[in-house]
Amino acid sequence: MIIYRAIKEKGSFCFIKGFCTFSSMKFLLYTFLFLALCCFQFSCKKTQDNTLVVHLLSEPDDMHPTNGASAARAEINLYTHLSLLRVDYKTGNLLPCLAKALPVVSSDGLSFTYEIKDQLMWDDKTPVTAADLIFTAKASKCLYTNNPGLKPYWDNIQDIVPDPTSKQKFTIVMKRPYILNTWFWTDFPIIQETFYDKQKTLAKYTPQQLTDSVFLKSTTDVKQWADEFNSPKYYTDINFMSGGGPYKITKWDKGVSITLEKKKGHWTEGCQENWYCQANPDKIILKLNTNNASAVLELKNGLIDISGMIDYASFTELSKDENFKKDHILKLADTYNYTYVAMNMKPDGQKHQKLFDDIRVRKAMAMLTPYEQINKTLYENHNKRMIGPISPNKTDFNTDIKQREYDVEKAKELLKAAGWADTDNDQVLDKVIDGKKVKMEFSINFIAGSKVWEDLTKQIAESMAKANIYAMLNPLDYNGFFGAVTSHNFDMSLSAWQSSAPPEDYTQLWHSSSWINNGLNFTGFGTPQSDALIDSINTSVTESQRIKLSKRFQQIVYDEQPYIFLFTQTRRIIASKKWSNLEVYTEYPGVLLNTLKLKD
Amino acid sequence: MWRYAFKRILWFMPTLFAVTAIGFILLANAPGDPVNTLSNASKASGNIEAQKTFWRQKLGLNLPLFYFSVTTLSSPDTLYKVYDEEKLKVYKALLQQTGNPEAIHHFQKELKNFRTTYEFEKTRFINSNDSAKVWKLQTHLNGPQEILKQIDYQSDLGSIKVFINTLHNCKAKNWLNISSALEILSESFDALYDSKTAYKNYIPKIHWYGFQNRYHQWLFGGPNSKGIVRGDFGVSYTRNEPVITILKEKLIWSVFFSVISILLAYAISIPIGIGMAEKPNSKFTTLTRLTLFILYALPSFFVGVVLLMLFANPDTLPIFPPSGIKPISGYDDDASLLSKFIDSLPYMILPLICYTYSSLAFISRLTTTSINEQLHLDYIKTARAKGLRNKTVLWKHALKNSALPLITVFSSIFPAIIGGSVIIESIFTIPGMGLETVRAIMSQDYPIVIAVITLSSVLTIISYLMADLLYAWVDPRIRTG
Repeated sequence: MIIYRAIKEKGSFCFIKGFCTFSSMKFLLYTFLFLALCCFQFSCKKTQDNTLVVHLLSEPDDMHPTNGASAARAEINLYTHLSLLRVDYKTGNLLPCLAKALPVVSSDGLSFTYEIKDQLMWDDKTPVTAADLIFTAKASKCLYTNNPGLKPYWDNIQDIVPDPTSKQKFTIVMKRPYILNTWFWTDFPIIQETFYDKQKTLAKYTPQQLTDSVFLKSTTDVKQWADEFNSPKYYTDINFMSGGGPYKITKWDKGVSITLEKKKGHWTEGCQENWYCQANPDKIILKLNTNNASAVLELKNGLIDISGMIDYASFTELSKDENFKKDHILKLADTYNYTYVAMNMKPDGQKHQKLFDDIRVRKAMAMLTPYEQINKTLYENHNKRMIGPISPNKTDFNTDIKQREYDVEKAKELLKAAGWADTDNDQVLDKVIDGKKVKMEFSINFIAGSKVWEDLTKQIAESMAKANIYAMLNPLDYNGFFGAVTSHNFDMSLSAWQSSAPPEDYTQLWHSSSWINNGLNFTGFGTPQSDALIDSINTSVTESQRIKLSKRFQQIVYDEQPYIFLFTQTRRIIASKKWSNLEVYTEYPGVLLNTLKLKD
Repeated sequence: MWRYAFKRILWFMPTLFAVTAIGFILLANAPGDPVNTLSNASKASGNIEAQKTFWRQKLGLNLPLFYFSVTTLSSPDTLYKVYDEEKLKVYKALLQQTGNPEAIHHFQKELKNFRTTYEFEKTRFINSNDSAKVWKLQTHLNGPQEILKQIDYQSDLGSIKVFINTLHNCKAKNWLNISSALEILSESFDALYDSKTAYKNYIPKIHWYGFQNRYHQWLFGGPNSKGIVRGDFGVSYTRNEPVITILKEKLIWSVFFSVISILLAYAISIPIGIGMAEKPNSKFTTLTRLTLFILYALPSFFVGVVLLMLFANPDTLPIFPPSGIKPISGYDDDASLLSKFIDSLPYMILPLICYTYSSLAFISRLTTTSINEQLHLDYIKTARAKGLRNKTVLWKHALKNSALPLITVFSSIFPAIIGGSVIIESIFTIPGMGLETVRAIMSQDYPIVIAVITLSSVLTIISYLMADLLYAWVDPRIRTG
């Protein structure tokens, strides 16, 4: 108030003796005002025309069509590349894209014959043929290509046979029946053989030869081709990125933005039939912003048109801001992703005590989790409860299973029945296991860096204290966390799984072989019965059979309670009202940018 | 002066070698396996081990770390070939308890043999019996599998003994012909238990690996790079781009913001410091000191967000853009350096304030104290007695003689330009070194991390060299001393 009055009286900061006679202060003040005036014009430099600016939270590591791994790259590939099959975002079913129809499957369920549409062209106006599909599969399988994380998914391919009578037909022969034998093509970018393999090197070899390290040592041309294919230019140089989609990357300003522009004269021009061939915005700029506060300001300033990355609290705040809502639409979209707390059901009994090997204890832990409080305080009540290993948004979801509720008293009873009691009055439960007194105290591991996860873990630990259970927070970096859970060096672990529309293969998370091999079955869940059920689901022939078996499997998981299933994650979509045709989907990325239309 | 500089440079060479070697070794021993990260092994099924071996060889990670290793007599020279961290931990723990690597190897070999026999017998049983019987007995048949898994990761001899006894009592023995294999396993364990040579754990041993090691290849080149002596830091594991290209892109912004902020901090703090020294009890001094110390106490994430909310918010003053370093559509293709600078100017102001404000209190206080020390000295009194203007006395005579602490501070903050500021870069989405380094550490992108360590070391050395030379220039007595 004093300063305000002084400024009003003297018209400047000169109420302090000496302040204004001091040249650097004056210089600073005038410089700041000058810069402020210069910068005032920045807001006029917003993008105009049919350009969609999208908030990007993290930049892709690279844009190699088949060797890359980051999520942002996969999203961009939706618009720059075409696939043999796509996901129908509305139904979650398969949608033929390059293929004329879904494949013709042989009676043994191992051969899949595809026919490619006739009129499709690459950018150089050459037709898309079966040779491109075969090349894509071989490039992905080849031992020398730099995609080790992807290779296991192509492992089931036995052979790829071109049709001698048609350039547009080919048959994929798989090693064994598997529910995902058709789905694995979904959204996988198909690449042009004549662009990435001008000498047609891979065409000379069979898929088996390309994965045989002994055979490959006897050749030199595959290594030469792979060295070229793996070279940095195909990862980062936009001049070496070519796909069949309606957009192409025209600018990649590292750490700033990625610009996609609609191809002129592309065969998809004017197409509104399916989502993948639409190209309504002339330009899509994916603008990187790593900070939530500044991203909100960019939305408010109209510098970003659409974002799905704003945090829960800001989303709720903006949804109450009438001024903001005049220009923006706010929508929530479900995802297939979910959070969970895993319990070590088969600890070694030395480093980690046998705390959770009793089902009653695991059920008690689930009852001690304050679901409503967590959803309210951390997720603004936007998230849905998970009750099993499959999203409620999938057809396989077992609706007969009832969710466990927060109930401290029942949890105490279960713990008591399991033999846990505070015998030494130190406010921590104890029990004699294998002749040794063991206390109910353990660590909850989680990946450090996320405030939400830290708070979530704290709330669970605080709630468990009500039943005289001492849970400590143990934040770890990603590698430490992952190393601990895969080697079963943990008691309890908080994490999340990402999932998508294709049918679930429960092997990785729930088959006992995945525990034996240090895979993603961290908890040790699995019985011969559940393993057999998983194997049956994976080879089920009809959808109804799969759903039936899947529901039975969910019941087993529910009964065994290896996880405390928490919530499905929700996408928060905020879009400028400049754009129409906004639809949100459960499948990643939630919004199809190419389908948005600029309002007149 | 040149001789002095040359001597200092000669001293820096072994320092640089030591720093990079220590950094390299520490990093290589950090938890996690980059091949696992690369191959995303956890999600994998199928032929993942062949893939991992291939990539380990391709990246040169199958070589020993350094020219030599300092271990104990009990420790084998080939420990670097054990890639599974948990298995390595178990092995080291067993070695610590027994000091007998031969017996451990023998036991592990027999464990492997037993597992093979068990798997073979189990498959034979499944194939030769009807499925209903197999289904009924599955739990018993799978029992040894889980016990073997527990033994794999068990580092305590006593516990291993318990698990082997459990194997002896398992019901699977009733249907599977594994008794003799189990006996051999028990004997090998007893041999391990009884033949302890723990004294070997206390006798040091140096093993020379020669030049086929990871550090040597990193320095002088190998299959993946030409070596850092030729300016090649290799290729990033995750970005698949030459590290030097990534560093160039990121460094330019970190260096820009750091250098400008250092210059700004000195340009603002020195006059303020001199002003405060000149009028120590004035209102200006009190208020400036208070303001600067309040600023000093404020964390940069807080100041960054406050600046955004005040000057980039349409609800208050939308003067500056909230994020980024250039307009959304980028620079024009034919833009000159000046026009690029002008385009980026609005984006630079708030980050620069954030980068600079915290140094102001420190440098100005340092200046005030140093000047105050000088003001009482005879040569200042003489200068004043000669009738020199107060400004001349302060700026020309006192400042030069009080510059030593300022040079010291400069030499300590200069190397930070390579590291950038993670927090400020994160708030304003600046594509600088801070965020890149954190990303590289999190994804175990060792080539980038070690390049950053090396460049930081070089820069630290250069800054100390510059400081030494500046000391010598400001005070020739240091040189002669």
